[in-house]
Amino acid sequence: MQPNNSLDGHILSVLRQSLRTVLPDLSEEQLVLDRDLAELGFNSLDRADVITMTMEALGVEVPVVQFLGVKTIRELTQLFARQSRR
Amino acid sequence: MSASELGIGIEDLNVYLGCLKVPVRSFFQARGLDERRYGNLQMQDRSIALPHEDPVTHAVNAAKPIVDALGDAERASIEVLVTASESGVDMSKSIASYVHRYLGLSGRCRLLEVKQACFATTGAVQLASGYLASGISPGARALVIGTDVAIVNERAQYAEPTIGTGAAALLLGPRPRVFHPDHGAFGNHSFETMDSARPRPDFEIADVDGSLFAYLDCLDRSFAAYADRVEGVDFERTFDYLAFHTPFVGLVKAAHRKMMRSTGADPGQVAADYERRVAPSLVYPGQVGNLCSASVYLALASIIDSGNFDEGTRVGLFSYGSGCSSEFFSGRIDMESKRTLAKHRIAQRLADRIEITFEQYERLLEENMKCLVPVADRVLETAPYDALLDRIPDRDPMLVLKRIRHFHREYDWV
Repeated sequence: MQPNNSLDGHILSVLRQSLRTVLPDLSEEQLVLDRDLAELGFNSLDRADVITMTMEALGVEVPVVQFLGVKTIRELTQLFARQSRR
Repeated sequence: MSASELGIGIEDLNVYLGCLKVPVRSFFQARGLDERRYGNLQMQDRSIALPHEDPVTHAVNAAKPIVDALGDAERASIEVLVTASESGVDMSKSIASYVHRYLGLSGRCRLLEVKQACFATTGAVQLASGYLASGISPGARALVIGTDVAIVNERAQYAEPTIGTGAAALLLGPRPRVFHPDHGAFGNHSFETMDSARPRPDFEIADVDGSLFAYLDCLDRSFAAYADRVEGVDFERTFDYLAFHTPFVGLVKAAHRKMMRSTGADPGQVAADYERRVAPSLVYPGQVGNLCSASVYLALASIIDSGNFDEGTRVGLFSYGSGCSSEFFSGRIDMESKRTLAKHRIAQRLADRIEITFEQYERLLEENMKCLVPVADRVLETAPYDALLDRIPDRDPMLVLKRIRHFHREYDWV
């Protein structure tokens, strides 16, 4: 895996904001890049909320189904980065 | 003449929702599910069928009060009977063929069974309405019945507490008393995906994330297709109520949240809008579970019975079926809708269901899992359940499966 600084900082901060909006009890330290979102307590509905909120904030409009199988904050950030570039 | 001039719509609507129920919470205790996730479902009870009930009896038991209320001429005007189901009892012979017999409908009738997971009833309603509106058979009516049974056990995990059983029967015709569709106001979105399926008659596949994400995409896209057809549409202001396909209440809440967020509403506005426009649709579904393609019509019935409205109220409906196909459409309801539906005493019949224990449920489950499995011969004993049925006050006669003789199903009224 690449070091953290290879990730788009803006996307990561928007995503972290969405994650903490959905589950406000999580601390910044708990949002480790390679932690599985389900393990952090995000169920399917929560994950859908995080994805759609982040899409809104980034102005990305793609089907939610493209995010199937994406498990970690790192993977989500990378996928959003690919889609924002389009 | 167009459909609106002919006024084709839903003349009558009734549901059959089983005789038994189990509290959803008891699944969490008995199956060792994570209690924290109970809140996500937002469901109180699940309807449970008896072993001598099947998609045929559900359909007949939903439609019988509608057909019984018709005069001879009106009954003879039912020229199309469609059953919509993902619980087929035979690869070739339709559920509709049995339903036609036990409802005593005219021989001058077209019979059909359709399948597209939880979208099938809406698909059939739209096609049948188009046929009626074509004017080639003036005065004709169509009876469309969505009917399904639950065939899930503990393997389904969090889906087990939310699957319902039952049917919704819709009489379509030129004198709509329950629902007047907005002419030409619809939008579709469909694509191939494997989010849920029934590859075997006793086995269901459900990809929770896949289903949820496809549902959300379809809502977004079918509403966009609707808005392309209908001028000046606004998700927040065009509809007084919203009735969505309801796999479980929490999903509808999430879907509404997603749609409202795109309008720029803040969380407080979203919550208030949910209580006002969405919550009335969930009173019945929350007590029954996922009624498959009949679900959105149970949600509509819930609005008509529990909504606080008088005249000219517009409802936006979203129907979604895995696999997947979907539609956003709309129509009007009024006080006559309330009066018509009140005759079916849905809230009372829901309250009259008998609550069984989880142990009783598990014993029934063993039998109910066999419901769609093809066998040449089988005799069903109804006597062991007489005591349960006797506890239901003022129970109407119900159709039950008595036996299967060389694959032919035989039914009777009890």
